[in-house]
Amino acid sequence: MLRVDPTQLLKGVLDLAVLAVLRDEDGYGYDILRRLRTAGLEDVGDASVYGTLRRLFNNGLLNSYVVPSDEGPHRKYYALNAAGRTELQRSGKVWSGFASIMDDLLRERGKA
Amino acid sequence: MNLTAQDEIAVYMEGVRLALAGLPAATRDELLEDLPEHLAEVLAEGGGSLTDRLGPPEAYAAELSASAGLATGGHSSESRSRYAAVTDRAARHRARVRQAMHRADVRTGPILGYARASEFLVLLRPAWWVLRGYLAAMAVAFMLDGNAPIGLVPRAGGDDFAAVLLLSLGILGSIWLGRRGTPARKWPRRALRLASAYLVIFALVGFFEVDSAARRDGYQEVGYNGWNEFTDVRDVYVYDRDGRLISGVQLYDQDGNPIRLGEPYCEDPVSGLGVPSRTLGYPHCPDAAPYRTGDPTTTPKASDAPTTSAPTTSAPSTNASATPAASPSGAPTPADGAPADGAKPSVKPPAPVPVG
Repeated sequence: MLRVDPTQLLKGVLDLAVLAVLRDEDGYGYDILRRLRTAGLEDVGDASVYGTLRRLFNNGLLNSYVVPSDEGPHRKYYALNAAGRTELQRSGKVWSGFASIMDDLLRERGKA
Repeated sequence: MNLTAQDEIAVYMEGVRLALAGLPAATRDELLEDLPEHLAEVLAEGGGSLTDRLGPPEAYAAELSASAGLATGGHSSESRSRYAAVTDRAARHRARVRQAMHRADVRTGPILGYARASEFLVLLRPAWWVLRGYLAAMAVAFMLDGNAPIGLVPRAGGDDFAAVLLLSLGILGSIWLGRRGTPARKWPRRALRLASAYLVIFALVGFFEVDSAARRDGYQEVGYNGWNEFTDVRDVYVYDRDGRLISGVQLYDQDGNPIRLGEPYCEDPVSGLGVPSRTLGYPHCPDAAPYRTGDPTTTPKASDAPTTSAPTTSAPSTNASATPAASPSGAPTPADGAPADGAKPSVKPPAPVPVG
């Protein structure tokens, strides 16, 4: 496939993106989804975010707690735990390295 | 608005759940845990139906399970057994029924003065507990005492005290069970539902039986003890159009059943005792006819009318008009010409007797 598909790219980095938006503040599913979209990841799928949250939780990177809500269903909040923060740092470095390589590559190609 | 949103959420949830049918139940429930909240948020934002916003439930389910790192989705759903397909269809029907019930709930609510009919029905819950206890006691009594017809009180073995005891136990037990709420586990819940359904059927059958028994008894009472216009009839006298008393008359109703009025006994004029009638058919006691025959002015050729020739014994067809071909008993019209009002003979001067 020649075309770069943003959704394909997203699949690779969604874990990292979710960890990143939880770095400063806990959030519930829809809240996290909104933060991602606000940040510019507009194509992120609703189900992908919820599935990712569930997987990160199962892998022990997130804690969760339920907050009762006056209107509507209770909200399940997710928070980074220690393992999550470690993973965020590690993956963040991988991504930064990868991104700068890509940047360099593209810049060189552009110059050539 | 809010209610249709709930509908939509329920349907979408069901769709996602179905699409995830290949997963172990615990995993699936875990995945679906956040879904209602999410769907509510999406709807609250506006901008179209859930399917418009999120795609079909199947696609959502596939994305959800894939991003959660679970091996399911299309692959396993294709290899699902026929059993799973059947349960899928059943689940879809259940969802549809639930939806229809929800709609009915909302529609009938305002008639009862509530937003939803179920709000009203919830108020009736304790009443149902009492009724259920009563029905349970009745069912137990019926099982213990299978031969006796169902009555109104759970009288097992015909004992009043036992009936009251059983009734109290049933009602108290049912209230206790009701206050505990729906059982959390699956099998107790199913057992309770099954028992309730049994009681409802038992109640329907039982009430109809008791009702028809009560009606039957009432009817018999009228037949035996009550008064009707035939109560005092002891004998029947039939006069022909010329006012002659006809004997050996057989009466039939529209179905060909013989009509029996009075008793085949006659009072002996001398002794005053009842002696068995010697005649076939009516009148039982020709001698006691209310209108005497033999008025000299109206005597026709009495000679050619032999008495008591046998009546036609063949039952008349449907509209038996009670005119058997009995020969007249050679009786002329009484002078006043007005016998029993029912018979309505034409008041005519005496005519020759048409013998036949």
